[in-house]
Amino acid sequence: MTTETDLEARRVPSAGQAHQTRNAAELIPLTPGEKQICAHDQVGQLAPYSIQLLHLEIGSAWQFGQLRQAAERVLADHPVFAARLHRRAGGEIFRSQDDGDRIALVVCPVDEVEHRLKRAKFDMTGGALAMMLVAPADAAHQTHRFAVALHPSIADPGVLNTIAVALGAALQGFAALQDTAASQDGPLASPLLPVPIPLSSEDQRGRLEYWRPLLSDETVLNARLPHRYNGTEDPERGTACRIVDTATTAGLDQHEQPLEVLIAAALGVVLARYTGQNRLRFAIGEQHIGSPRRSEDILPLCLTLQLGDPFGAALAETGRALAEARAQALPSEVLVQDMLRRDGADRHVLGAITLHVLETPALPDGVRRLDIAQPAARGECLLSASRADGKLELRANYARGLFEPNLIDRLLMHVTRVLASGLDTPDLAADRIALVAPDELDLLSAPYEDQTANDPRAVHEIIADHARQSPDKTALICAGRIWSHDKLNRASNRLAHSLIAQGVGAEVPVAIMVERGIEAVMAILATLKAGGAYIPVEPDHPESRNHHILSDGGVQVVITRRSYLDRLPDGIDASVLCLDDDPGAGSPETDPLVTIHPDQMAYIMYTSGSTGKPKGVAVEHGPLSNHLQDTARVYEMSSESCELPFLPFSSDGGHERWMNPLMMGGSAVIPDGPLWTPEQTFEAMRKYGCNNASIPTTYLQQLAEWAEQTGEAPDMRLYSFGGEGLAQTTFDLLSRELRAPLLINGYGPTETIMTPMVWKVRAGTRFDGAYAPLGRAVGNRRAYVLDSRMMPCPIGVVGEIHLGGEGVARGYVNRPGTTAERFIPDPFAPALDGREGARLYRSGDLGRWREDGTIEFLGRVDLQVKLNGYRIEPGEIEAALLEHPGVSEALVLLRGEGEDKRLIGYAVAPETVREEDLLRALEARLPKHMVPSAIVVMDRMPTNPNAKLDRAALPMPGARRRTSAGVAPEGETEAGILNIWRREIGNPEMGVTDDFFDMGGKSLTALKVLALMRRRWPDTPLTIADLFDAPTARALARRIDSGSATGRQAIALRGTGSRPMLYCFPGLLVSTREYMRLTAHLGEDQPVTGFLCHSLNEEKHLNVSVSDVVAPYVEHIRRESAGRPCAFLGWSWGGLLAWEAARQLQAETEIGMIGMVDVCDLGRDFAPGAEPEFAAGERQALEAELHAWLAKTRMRPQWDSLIGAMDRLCYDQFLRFIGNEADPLPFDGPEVSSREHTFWVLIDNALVFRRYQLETLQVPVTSYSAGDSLSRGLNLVDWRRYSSQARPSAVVPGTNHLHIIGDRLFHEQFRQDLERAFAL
Amino acid sequence: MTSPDVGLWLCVVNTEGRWSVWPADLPVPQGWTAKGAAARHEDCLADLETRWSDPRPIALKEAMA
Repeated sequence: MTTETDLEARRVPSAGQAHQTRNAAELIPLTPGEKQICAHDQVGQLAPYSIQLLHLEIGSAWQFGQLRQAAERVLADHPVFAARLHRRAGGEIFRSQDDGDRIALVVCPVDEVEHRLKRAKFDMTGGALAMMLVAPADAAHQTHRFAVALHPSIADPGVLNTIAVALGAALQGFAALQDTAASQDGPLASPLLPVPIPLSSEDQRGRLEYWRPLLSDETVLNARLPHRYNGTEDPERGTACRIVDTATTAGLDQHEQPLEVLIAAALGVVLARYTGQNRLRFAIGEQHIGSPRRSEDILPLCLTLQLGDPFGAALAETGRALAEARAQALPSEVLVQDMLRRDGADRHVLGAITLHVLETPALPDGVRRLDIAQPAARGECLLSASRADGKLELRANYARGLFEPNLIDRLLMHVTRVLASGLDTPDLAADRIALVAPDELDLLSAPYEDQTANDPRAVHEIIADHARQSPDKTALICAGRIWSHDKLNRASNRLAHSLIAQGVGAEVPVAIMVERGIEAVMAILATLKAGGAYIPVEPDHPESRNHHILSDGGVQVVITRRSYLDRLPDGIDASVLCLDDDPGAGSPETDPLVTIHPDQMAYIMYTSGSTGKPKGVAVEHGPLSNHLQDTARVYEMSSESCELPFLPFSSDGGHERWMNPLMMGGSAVIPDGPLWTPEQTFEAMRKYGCNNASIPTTYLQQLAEWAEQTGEAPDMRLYSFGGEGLAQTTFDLLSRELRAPLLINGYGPTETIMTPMVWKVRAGTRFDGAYAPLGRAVGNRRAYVLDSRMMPCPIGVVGEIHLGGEGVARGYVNRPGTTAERFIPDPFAPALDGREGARLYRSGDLGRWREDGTIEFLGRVDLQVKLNGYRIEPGEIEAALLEHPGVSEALVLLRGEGEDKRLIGYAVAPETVREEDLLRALEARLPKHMVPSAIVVMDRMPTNPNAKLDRAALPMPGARRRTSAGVAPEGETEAGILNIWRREIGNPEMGVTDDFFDMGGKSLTALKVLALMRRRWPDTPLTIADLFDAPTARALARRIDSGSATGRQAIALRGTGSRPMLYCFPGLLVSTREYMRLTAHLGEDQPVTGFLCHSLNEEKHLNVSVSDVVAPYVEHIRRESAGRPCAFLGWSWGGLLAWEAARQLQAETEIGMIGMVDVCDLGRDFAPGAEPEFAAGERQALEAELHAWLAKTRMRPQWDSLIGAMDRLCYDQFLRFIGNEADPLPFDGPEVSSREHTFWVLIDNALVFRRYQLETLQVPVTSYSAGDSLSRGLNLVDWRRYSSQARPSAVVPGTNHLHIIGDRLFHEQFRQDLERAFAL
Repeated sequence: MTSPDVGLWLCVVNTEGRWSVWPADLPVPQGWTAKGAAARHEDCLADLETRWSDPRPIALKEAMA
């Protein structure tokens, strides 16, 4: 779509061309890697490369004169010291190495060496690229120094090694001289500079064929470390270093496998453990020892590891994969360029993680390296291993925005642990190598610190104690009734005695089918006092569920009300007691004398399992009482506690929250109905002086919203909540509006008793994650995140949450198999707590440890999906969807089979919420692999007769979600438009109110449709802006019919916002929609206008100047901004337009920033002064071909005038260009979007471009270069040459000239720059 | 998260008389004893359906006896 890339792609490099100052024969072409480095330097951004430094300490055994002589010798022999670079017209760079250019040796004091190395500056346009220093030992330094600094385009760690070895050899020559007195002359082996021999195109194709399927294989994961939540890969880098212990280093040295294989295998094992994926890839470094020129490169290493096998198997696989990769080696630039052609290619397609194992050759005794040269810091994380002074060092260089420094430190530690284990216990399976050490596990799994010993008595015994100590204190309040502790105790005692008379005792289940309230609590306490186990049954729950509960658990007594009798199953085999009959009448009011064994059942709670029948979870007295006492301390409760428990009695949390205050001698206010309005709730809190409330998260949100609206919230000490994932925005709302100082997020499966984990925080706490953390374990418990082999996961790595310790349930009633499956032996308790025979509960929930040791919830194990090798938690995507205003429900599913498998999002939201907005919002906050391919916006989720979600009824996102024919056209104009649109989009159902772009209209379709519409309404000026602003047939028809509302040149991408307007100048042949994602990212407050590309207009004016093209834009800016500050963005050719507009407007408008996005100067195809080459007779043949084509084309007049405007050189360049084309010349013009028209526009544009001279302007310039453009060595403009206020370019890796404009990393960089430009 | 569909498993019991299953290739945690031969996961669970008929821990059984 743009000139520069296309021209570049068609370029064929040819050497030996004449140059102003150099003889062609002396010029050496650059390798793809060298070209890329030069391109980086040209835009002012050398990173990820760096000046290559060698710094040696030379012992005083040598005289300084000898060092100097040795250095002179190395300098004279090695070609890098004579290297220069030369730019030709069109930007192509060549290298020369004339002896006349050789640099001179510099002698300086030792103290100056570091300083001079750091200050080294090199000149890419014919200047020196190297520096060599020697420094004599002096009073302050015992040793001499030798140092070299080289530009990275000519050197890498391999070249530095060669130089170090050469110097060492030369120095040793002197040593030999002293020892033997023999003469030592003759040249050192002089390295010859190899001219790169490009692979034959056939070989290259063959190798690409090898890599393509491997790199696009979805089952081979591009391994990544866990990213920070909402992290972005900004340019800031962090570093880490770890020295491998001496025993392991020695073991590695003696191993039969090379160090490279050992470390790569260990990294592979660690990454497989982190990702849970055994087929994965990362990049591995290449370095050719002894190469006189730069040879560093990377290749993907694709491994298939069997982690059940010992480390030795991983070594064998790594060795195999490495050999195979090297046999198919290609310059990484070639591979990356090939892969980046695809939409949606990975940013680091060869590997997000790169490993270099650096060879460090031996130097003579007395010569010591003071540094280790590091390879180019590409990718998200670069690891390198090197030997220095007998030590093995692991280093990391990583994107600071993506990773916690601790995570990287641990990665290095884990690689070391795998290596050590591989050596020490070679038979251990790789998936059983401990990554987490016992002391770390102890800290991570530990509960809230609490040394207090618990009261050994049962819950009801502790509650009854308060009836004696503070009999008149309020215990329960419900529906206006108030019961004291004494009254409650006497009533429950009476009923307890009756139950005992009915045969209730240890292990006897009693169903309590009474609505939540004072009587239900009394009946529960009575059951416990009698020694029985209570089963809460909600009278209002579905009959089938209740009947199952009443028949499943061996219920012997049912306590209920007369009004609920008809809800009992027929012929129930249990005594039924109705509270209305006062079953305790006449019984004693004293505590029954019943001994409770700690293993005795206290209650059975039925889980509301989403599949199958509810399962009864049996909980014993001992752990229950301990849990409640521990919890009371975590909640900081006392006899003054007055709690409002809003949780239902069908969940165990509902019982925890009334038992707790009663056990402390406090009180509970029990809501008399399932639903209270926020107003009622606040009123009750105030009236009864509540200080604690336990409320389901969703209802708490309603309370907070109400408080926000009314500005009133009662004074509360603590809100506890739980039940669903809590997003940061909701948490902030709760913190802000409810004004309670303490907040507790509770988590817990029924199987681990009520709320085994809590996250207790002060209001206003921030957390990084989709959901609020689950916190840590409460009481005598431990919480673990474990992988599939029962190994603890390192912090940040996803695994299943397991809970162990005393606080687990007995198991499932009548389901020994299921109990055994979910409650498993605890392998950690013996070592950590000295408890043998303990059990762990497998929660079925996915989580990961956070840096602070709390656990984060990520979703259900059985809902986790795998796509393209990534494990995805739909819950995380749903949470992101729910954060969008208007979305009330969200669901994300993996749908489709095989290759068609994709993530589909469903959102319940009003019609005003558009799929496109939701997708953009997700793109802004989730990694690419987590963004659904489509989102269906619905007014409600489909449900089945049981009011459950009906997954099968969820629609697939169709070619468009039009299930019926669209609105029929009225009038001729609507019909005409719709006719064209339906045909071109291929959707016969389309109606006049359907959005052109929503229905599948793409940029090119838009151009085609425009051309057809212009033919239909030849007198109406129609532009892409019209289609954009009025994207339905009805809206557009209205504009056409009104006569004067079409023909716009500018599109308001966002019309509102208080910040200075951003004007986007178009690249060639782009439709301005390309700026929409950027507009979305810049936010609501940033107005954006996009200009229409002139080449999309009907009339093709020949010989326009850049100034002419810009005139209407300038006019628009003048009118709209009227002297107010504004900002420009120019992408590709649009950069020149922006520059020219700035030139014309500079006197009248403050331009705060011009953002230049991948703006290239003309390549050698059309650069003035770049003389093309022809083989003998080729020029005549090409001219004949051109004439034959011109005789046939329908665009003859346009071509004639274009060719007529060319000068001699330009015409020759045109012929050369035709000759370089692989395809025959096109005949399909002149419509916009035809290949021939595009071709014409390209050439026309090149001519316009040739005549334009960039002037110097004093405007702030930021610029952004696509990694791919640099990799191709495109002739990117260095804006620092044209403005003293221009910054070096920001490099956006993993994107190309076309895709950069939609790239998230670019958006974020641009947003920050724009913010800075207008900051006060 | 141990996948039940792979490998062999053991029925194990602790000193309280509570039963469970455990992968046969991993060391049995202290305080647990393997009973019977290694078998498929589902077979171990089926075995426990009959073998573990009284859910009460040993201490409770003794106290109630």
